[in-house]
Amino acid sequence: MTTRIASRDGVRLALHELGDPHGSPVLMVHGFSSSARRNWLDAGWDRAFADAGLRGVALDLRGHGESDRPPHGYDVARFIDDVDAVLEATGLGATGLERPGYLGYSMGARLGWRYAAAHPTAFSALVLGGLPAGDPFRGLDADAARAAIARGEPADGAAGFVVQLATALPENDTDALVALAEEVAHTPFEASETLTTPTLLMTGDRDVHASDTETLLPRLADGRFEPIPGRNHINAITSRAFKQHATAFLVEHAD
Amino acid sequence: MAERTFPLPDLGEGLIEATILEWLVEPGQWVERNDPLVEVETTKSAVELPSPIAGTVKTLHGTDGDVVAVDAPLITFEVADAEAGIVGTVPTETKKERRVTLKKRS
Repeated sequence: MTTRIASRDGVRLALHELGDPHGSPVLMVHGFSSSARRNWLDAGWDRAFADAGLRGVALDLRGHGESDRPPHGYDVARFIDDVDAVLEATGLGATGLERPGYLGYSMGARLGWRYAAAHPTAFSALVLGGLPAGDPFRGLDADAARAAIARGEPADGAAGFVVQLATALPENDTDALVALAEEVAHTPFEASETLTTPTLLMTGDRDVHASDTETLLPRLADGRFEPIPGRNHINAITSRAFKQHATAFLVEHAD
Repeated sequence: MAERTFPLPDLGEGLIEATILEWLVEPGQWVERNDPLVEVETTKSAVELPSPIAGTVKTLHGTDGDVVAVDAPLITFEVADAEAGIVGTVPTETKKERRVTLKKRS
């Protein structure tokens, strides 16, 4: 089931329900240039959540999936606002009720980290998959990315990363995705805060984009790292090991 | 008993093939409809394919790491005779979101 809500600036966001409708709630946030469908539904997480007794609320980030794709308006503060809007519209942020867990992949993991750093009690637990310790958007030359896409060629550095992902899937809006990366790059990720929310970090042991996830462990007051055997940044999302560890951790820490 | 073979579906990326990442079933195993069958990957994404029917797995057309063309045979089931050859069956479950599924081989 898909519903739409409005964020603070009026951008409409799509939410997809999956798993066990009566289970413990988990907010699920996909990665850059992916979508709730690609990252979770097509990858088999509906079944994994249903089997574990978890209810997934999977957000399409602005600029992605079935959410609005404005030409601008992708600064980090708006993504934080979007999480606020989802928690409010779904009732998952209500005080006194069961807090949701959070499952994010790549840029969705980054957003979960940023949100939990500012709101330490918002989520019962975080599972952050494919999370780079550094910021892949840092130093992005957005004009170089646009030029490379126009020419149909690869690019170097951060632009190369953005071009590769933004052009990967036919449903993507490359203009919106480059604008997103450009605005997010204005607030480079610094793992300066210590997270107190219980956190499980998981990354494919062949993931060249997030090979340094484990170096974030000292920033977790209550966290651990599990590798996803044999997987890279793209194909980790269907992994049994990822699903089993993630769902067990979310169930264990559910309110 | 009868056999039904399902081909690798189009994963919606304009690509003509995919790689078998990991089989989640083995020959002789009984699977229910919607049980996870296999993980497949392209250079762009990874997908878990659910079983389109209930039946006994007879043949896996490829092993982990093999490249399979879209529309080439992926898996063959042994099914009760009543299950074979039925067309136009109305699903009894409520409508779900679009997902990549196996289609009956024409």
